[in-house]
Amino acid sequence: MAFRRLLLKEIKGSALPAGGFAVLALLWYLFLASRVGIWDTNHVNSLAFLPLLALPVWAAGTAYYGLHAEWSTNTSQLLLALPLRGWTTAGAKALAVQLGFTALSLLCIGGLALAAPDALRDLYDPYGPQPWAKPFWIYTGYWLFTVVAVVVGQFTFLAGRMVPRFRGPASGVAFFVVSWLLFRLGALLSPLFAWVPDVSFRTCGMVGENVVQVSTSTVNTAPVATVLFLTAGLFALNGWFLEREVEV
Amino acid sequence: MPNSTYIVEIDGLHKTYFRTRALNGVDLKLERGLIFGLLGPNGSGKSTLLKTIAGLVRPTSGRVLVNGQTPSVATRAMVAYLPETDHLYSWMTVREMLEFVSAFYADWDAQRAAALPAFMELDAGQRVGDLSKGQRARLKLVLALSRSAPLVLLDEPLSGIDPPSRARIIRSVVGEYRLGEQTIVFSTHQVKEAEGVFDRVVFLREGRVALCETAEKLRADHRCSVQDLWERVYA
Repeated sequence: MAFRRLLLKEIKGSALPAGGFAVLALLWYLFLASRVGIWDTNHVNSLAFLPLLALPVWAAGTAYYGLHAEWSTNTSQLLLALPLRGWTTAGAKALAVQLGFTALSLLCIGGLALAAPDALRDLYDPYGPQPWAKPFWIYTGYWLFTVVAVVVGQFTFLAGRMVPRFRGPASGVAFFVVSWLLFRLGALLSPLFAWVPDVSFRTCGMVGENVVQVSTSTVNTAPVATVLFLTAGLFALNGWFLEREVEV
Repeated sequence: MPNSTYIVEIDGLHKTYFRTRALNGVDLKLERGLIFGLLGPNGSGKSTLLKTIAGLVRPTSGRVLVNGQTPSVATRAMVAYLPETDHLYSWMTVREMLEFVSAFYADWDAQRAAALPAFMELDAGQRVGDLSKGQRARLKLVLALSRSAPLVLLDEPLSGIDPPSRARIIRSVVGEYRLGEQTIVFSTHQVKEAEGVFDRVVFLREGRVALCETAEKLRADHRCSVQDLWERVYA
């Protein structure tokens, strides 16, 4: 009940930045759709991915400003006075951003289909044995990367609150250090997660005129699992900061 | 020791913000079931003291116990805190604000929460952002008094409020007070208007407790009102 109420509050609170992004993305796709046949197709196809590339940045920024707004409007005094564990508060905020991201990413894929259908078709493997495997795993990786971005966004703000002065620079340093550490440690510790089964799927490609080759693509999941494990630890740290360390 | 005489026990509490000392060795015990007036000039540490009890600020050193426990998630469930600053979500309506807060507290009194907005002349459908300063102050009080929390911390609930609203706020504090069950700490500069409700008065000065005495004894010993004493001490 409490989590649901908090989640609803967060979803309503992030409606404005999500709506803003949706409007900008739609305008962008309409503009690109008007350029089809005028600009080089490759340029249009490349530019059509721009909103999808910007979306994880939006998610990290929204996660950061979701907390920032609580302090700048003094509502942190209400939020932190609630008898909630820190991970509940951090979780509701992160989930609201992730839900917004999911909705916006689906909207962007729709826009991509409108403005640059060829680009989208390249990801899909209509003649292969698993036509949807490649786009599914690409989207899954993209979604998981955004989970990491959201948790890093929250950590960036909370780390800045841990120091009495120069909070902006401290947040900046925290962002770069934790991002570097996540991916560095993700690579270093990945042997620990070698037991996680790799993802394999078969794709079909043209290797010559009328010659089709079926090949197997494999994604090494150990580094991904390691980064996700570290992200879970960072999320727990965010909860600890919210519950025990940060002040109003 | 949740059943001790004191709901709040503070020993040697210091709080420093970078180079500013907000609290400088506070020793204070608050008995259960009384209304405390927390008085002191600006910068004397009243807000910091209340935030520390509410668990929103960590002590630099010293000890704070609320109902025998260090401030934590568990003690937050026992404390109704009204901050001096505006801490309401401006995009919510009055009704949404009440529904939002009600979800988190087991001691939320739905009947009282339904009756108080009308007494405070608040329109449940109005956006918080559209309320006047006085209306927002009254809404903050509705949020705090709609709970049957054993400890109610009111930080300057009369600050910047017009006299009729102040009288209404004081009437509701007295009216909703659960004699013997609740402890209220009421910080204010409007001593004259509020002193009638105080059982005990705590004077803070430069981050320390300068005086802690029953309001009655202060009046008898000094042969003046708490307001006059306050002016004599701090003017």
